[in-house]
Amino acid sequence: MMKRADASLLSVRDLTMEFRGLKALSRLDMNVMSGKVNGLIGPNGAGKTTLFNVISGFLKPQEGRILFEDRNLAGLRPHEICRLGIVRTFQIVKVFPELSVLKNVMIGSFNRHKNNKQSQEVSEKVLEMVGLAGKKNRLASSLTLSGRKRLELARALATEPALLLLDETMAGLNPTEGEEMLSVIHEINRSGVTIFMIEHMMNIMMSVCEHIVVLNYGEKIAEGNPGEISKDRRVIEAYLGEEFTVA
Amino acid sequence: MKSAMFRFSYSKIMVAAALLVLLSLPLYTGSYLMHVVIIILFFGYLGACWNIAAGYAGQISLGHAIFFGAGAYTSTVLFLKAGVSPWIGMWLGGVSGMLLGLFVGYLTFRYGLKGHYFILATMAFGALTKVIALNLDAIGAAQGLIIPFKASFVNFQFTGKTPYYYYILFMVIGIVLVCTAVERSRFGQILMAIREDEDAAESLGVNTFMYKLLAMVLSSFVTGLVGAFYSFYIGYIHPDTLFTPFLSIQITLIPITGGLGSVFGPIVGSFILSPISEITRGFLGKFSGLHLMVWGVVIMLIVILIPKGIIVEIQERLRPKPKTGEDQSL
Repeated sequence: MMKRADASLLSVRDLTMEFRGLKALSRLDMNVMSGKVNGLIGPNGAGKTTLFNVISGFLKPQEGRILFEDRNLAGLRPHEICRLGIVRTFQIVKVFPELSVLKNVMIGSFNRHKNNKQSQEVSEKVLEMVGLAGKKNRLASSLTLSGRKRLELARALATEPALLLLDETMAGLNPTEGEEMLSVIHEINRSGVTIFMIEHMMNIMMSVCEHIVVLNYGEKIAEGNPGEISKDRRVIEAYLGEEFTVA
Repeated sequence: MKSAMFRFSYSKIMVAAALLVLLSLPLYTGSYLMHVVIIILFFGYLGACWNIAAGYAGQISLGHAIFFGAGAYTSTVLFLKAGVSPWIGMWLGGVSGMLLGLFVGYLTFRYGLKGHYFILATMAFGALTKVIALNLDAIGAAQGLIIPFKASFVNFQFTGKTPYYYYILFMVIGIVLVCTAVERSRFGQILMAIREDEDAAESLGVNTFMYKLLAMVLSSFVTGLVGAFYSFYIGYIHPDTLFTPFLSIQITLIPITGGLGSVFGPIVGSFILSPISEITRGFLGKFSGLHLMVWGVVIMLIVILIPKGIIVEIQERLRPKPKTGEDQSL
């Protein structure tokens, strides 16, 4: 499908999320670009996961709007947001440990398919895509970390989203597993799903993402393509410290 | 995964054999043994009802006695005051159990009570209901209700034990079929996903509030359904026996012993635990409460012999996992 070059799929406007006076996100404005791999970076405590929690409906923001296909998502519950086409993975993997790999994915596919057989077909296709087809009858708890991360990705994908939020999907993987995960993410993106991902490794983010948002202390300090981001003074300050740039 | 084992054909043969023995039991047993088996089946049924909410959906209720009590009282009061046949009263009893389940479920789930807090809330509802029942004159208050014995099919009162036996046996077969259907359906799989990780299920498009409520509604309805059987089999109901926390705990221990979240677990568990209470009560009746001590020993053995143990089973497998702080952190 063709998309306008820089149309945004999701826009966050004036978003504030406070925890008892502590502003985790403060008057945030940002966009997720349609059809692209979008990245969210920032130092620890910048508010990255909070932003994901707000977009996916796990937290209700005090102020602001999250616009997705002309709808404001703020205040909707997570399952409603998933129904609309946004799904997330968790920083700490949350598989269904005592269910089989296939059943795990089928729960995701029930989002669009009400019938057992149809949802099984969809699930098997998705498992094939992430390379878990051979393990579909194993218990999710028996998978390695890498396996569980793939499973979580497969399960999210089975909901047939337009936007996939990936929260540190590559953290804790060894370089080979990380490479494989990246190529899966690219394949998902090529199939038409917009990606919005949090990852710590700057080199990966700079090479993978086409659009990057940088948070620091709950505020956006930069937004743009990797070239722009890497030259941004405030980004360099946030990552390397003020003295370094002043000197 | 225990339940999956029952799909193997040898298990089907076992079930068929057990069914055959149970169906033909009245041909070769005396009235005492029949009573023991009736009690076993009765508690197996209750355990299976509880298992729908707790074993599949992971919502451990320690107040299930109130749904059962509501069913017993509804059918009895309707019979005594309006002459409604228990055959109709049982369904209305199921509905009143269900309404109570809807009430408890709505309040607890609406306010997001999970894990320990849900358990405590259901216990509180149990205690509350008992106090109300003890003071409500319209339902006999602390005197309880006696059902005058007039044997007739319409009155659900029989001179022998055989009709009661077949009634409860068919109720057990019914609940086994219901649980099998739940387990294989999309509904049941979603309940299990909620048990395993509620946040993950919600993030995948599952309306967890609604599904938990549905699980409670189904569980409390089938629990209330068997209330009429108890009333008319025993002939006397009293808040102290129907709304007692111990009954709620008994309903809980039976499926835990036999296997949580499995179709036959509660029935098997009842065959292990219920005879102990019946037999110790029968032979050592003058030491009242002795069966509880024997239960204690058996439960200790189960904790030791079943590798995961009851407490870990409850904590690890049933309780929705506590929110990991990490996801909330920045």
